[in-house]
Amino acid sequence: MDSVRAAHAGVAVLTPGRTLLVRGLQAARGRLGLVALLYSVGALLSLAFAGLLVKPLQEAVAASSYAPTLAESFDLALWADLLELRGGAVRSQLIHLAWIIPVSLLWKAAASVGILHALQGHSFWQGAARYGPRSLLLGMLFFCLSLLVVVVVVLLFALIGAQWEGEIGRTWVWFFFGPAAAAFGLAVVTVMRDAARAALVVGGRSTLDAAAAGISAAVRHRSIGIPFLVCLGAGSLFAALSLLAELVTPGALPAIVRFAAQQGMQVLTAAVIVGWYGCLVAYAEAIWPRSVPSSD
Amino acid sequence: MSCFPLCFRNPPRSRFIRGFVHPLCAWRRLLALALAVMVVAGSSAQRPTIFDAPQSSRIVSYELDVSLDSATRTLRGEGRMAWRNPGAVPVDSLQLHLYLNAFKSDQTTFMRERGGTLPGFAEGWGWIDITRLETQAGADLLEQLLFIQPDDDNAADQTVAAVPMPSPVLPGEAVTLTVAFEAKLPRILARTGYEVRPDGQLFVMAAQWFPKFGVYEIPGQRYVPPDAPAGRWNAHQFHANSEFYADFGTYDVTIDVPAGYVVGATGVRVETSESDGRRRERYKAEDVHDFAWTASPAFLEYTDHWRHVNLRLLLQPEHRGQARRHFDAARIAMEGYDRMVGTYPYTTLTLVDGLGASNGMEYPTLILCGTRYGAPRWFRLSELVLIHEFGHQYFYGLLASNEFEEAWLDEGINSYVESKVMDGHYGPGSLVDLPGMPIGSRAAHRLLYAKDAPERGALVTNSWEYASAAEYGKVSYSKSATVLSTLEGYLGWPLMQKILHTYFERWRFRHPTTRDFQAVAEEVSVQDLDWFFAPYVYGTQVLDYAVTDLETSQTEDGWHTTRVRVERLRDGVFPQVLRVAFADGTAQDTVWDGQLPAATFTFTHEIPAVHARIDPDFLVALDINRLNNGRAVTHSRAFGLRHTFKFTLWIQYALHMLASLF
Repeated sequence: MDSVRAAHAGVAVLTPGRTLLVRGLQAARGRLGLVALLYSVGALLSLAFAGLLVKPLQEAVAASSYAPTLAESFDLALWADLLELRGGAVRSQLIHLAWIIPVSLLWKAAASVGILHALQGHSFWQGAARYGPRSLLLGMLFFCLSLLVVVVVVLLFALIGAQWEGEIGRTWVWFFFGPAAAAFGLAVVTVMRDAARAALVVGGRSTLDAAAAGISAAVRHRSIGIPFLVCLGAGSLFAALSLLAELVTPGALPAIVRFAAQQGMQVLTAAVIVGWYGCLVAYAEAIWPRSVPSSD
Repeated sequence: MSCFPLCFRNPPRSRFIRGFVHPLCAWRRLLALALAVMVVAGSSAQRPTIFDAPQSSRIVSYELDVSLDSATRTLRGEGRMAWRNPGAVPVDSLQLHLYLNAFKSDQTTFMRERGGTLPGFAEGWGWIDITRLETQAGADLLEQLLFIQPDDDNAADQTVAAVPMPSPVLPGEAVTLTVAFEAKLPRILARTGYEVRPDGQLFVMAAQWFPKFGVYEIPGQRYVPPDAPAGRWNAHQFHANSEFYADFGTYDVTIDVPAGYVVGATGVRVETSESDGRRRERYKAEDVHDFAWTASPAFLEYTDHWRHVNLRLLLQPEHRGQARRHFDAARIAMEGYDRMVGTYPYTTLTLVDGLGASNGMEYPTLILCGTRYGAPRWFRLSELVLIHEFGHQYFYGLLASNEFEEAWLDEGINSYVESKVMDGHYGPGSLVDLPGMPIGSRAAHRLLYAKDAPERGALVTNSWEYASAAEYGKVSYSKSATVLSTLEGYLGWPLMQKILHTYFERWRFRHPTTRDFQAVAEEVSVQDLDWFFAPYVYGTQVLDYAVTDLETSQTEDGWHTTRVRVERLRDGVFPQVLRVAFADGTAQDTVWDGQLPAATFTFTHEIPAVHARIDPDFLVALDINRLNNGRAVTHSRAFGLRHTFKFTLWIQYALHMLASLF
């Protein structure tokens, strides 16, 4: 109990949000290799997936003489014809490519602990190998918690919606308050899960202790929410800029230039993720100091 | 333009808190009062149409007094209704529509075709009972009234009644009946009835609420042979997929509702009074073929005007922020139809924001639009519905085709013009205006037709004979609009507009048929259009042409020969333009009559060809596959590259989202 109190006191003197953010920024700037790794894996996976999806469409369009038209603008008639012709092939590709979902989830579980480990000055791959399976368990546990949050929010707002009759009420409940509550709930679970992984890797906790510590951290120490919100805001900004480049300027930019700009945003997003883990490491080092030195 | 709320009965609460009236609001109220005085003063002199003389044959006239019992959702009506024999031989019986009886049980033709009611409808049945029906001479006709089922012999259907007359109605003679009736409104299942708002306030949409004469078609009219010995009644039962058909005439209707109700109705409001907790409003309409009205204490009322037309908007309070949006769309509609088709002859238009299935419906000078709270601006469904329903003032209201037998003449031609108005005003994203994914009205109609069993359903089909409601909708709206877009592509817009205008001028206030429309089209275009109408209006042929091969080779003299093979893949035939584009930006066109299953064309040019396209300007909207209309000499990677990049980004974000849960 004393160590816990001391740990909490440690956080209290951290100047929480700002200090954590500084550590996060340092992590993102200092570990560009991690940023590159995180970005590259996501990009390669996505590129491969996209290439395989586009292939049947490209085959149908290439000789049609409409390829430049469809490349530059949206044409409902041509897209409808294209999907009628190749929709089946695209669907079957999607089914064949469903492996990307478990692979990306496994990668997420391994990479998150790998990054946490690496940010402590150790090897990313060793961290991923050592903590990966437990990180996976935590991922599944908190995924269930996410589902529970969604179910609770849906039930709660169904009840509220039933009380709040009328179009205006229903609109606000189902299009604003409900999604906002679900998003908030999922964000809290995200912080819990990531803090749990930090407790696992940095604090050396067992899986269940780490899960409990993660939940406790998100509930008791709101200071961790500040860097999370900053990172979420930065990530959202980069996403918005990417979509803006996609939607507002169709045809105005050469495809390769647009894609390069968007991938720049993806690199920055990866940096934000690494930064967020940097914040978590700082947080975990303060609140869960290891009693046993790491063997790495 | 003024979009000024005349909310005397439903003031926004914020304006009246503790008796405080903001100076601006005070001015507004004064101005509103002045406007209201002007409207009332003006309305007494306002005529229902811009014409002094009758524009239609005015076969019928109704003088009715109807009272709403809001507790029982029942109407009690009485009055006189007259019918004039337009034929050359005596008529010994009349036929009446009693359409509220469609909601009388689950065995009516409407209910059977519809497949039943919705859950919770148990208390919602509706019907109409005639309690008195007499001639002016006092002869009781009620005993002889007989329900008939001309379409399906369904004995449980009581939506059409025949009334034998004590003595035949002589040619040119008018018979006046004294009528009293009681009508229980159904819960709104389709178009008509009542609905209770969540706040408990009643909404009434009274359509098909009174006994209405059928149409007696005389020899030579519509499809009655000119040499037929006598005319015949055309009165169909109420079907799930069909709308209405009635004769032009005059209406003088007094509506009695509880005080505090806001009423909207066909025609011009000429009197209002309130006493003993009741409000009475009298409306007159001329040269219309139906009369509908609506009432609710919840309505917010707004007014505006466009040229000679006084606009009233009756809005649900939840949608108070959308008054301007409605009036803007109404103006776009009125200007568009005025320019493309002709002058709107009535002096009023009432826009009603109804509840549930009452919306998206048209009656003379009154349309039901409907919207949603928070309806996004980029999705112009509200505008589409309003513009479409206003268009029905032309294609239904004025050009009163038989909606049972030839729904395409109102829904289809109207959908075509509506898409012209929408696309013309709002641009390529007229329906969905999302950046990077604009969807226009014409494109949407083409999609709904071309990708949904295009070989099924002819335009000229009895509405109730379509295989399903979906097929009725696809054919009557989207296929029809696409057929007319294709005709426009063939004839050109100037000719097409002239066809619409001539059709309107010649047939307004009458009952045109497909044959009449074709005759106008042929007369204006000075050509026989049977080759077009037979397969695509009367038939179910499907159009699909393709460029199936493209070869280029260099001749000894350095020129380039391009051979293009084109094929007709379906049974539909249509003349096609084949265009070959060359590397220097020039192009050569040739016309193929499209008759043979396949043909090969050879082009010789000093520059090599880059691609060949059939229907290069996409004028043949009926072509169900445009993608196969073109062929390039070299395969382009532009699409693959662009979309690989685009999909990569989307997948990256999808993976981020997925990972955030794990």
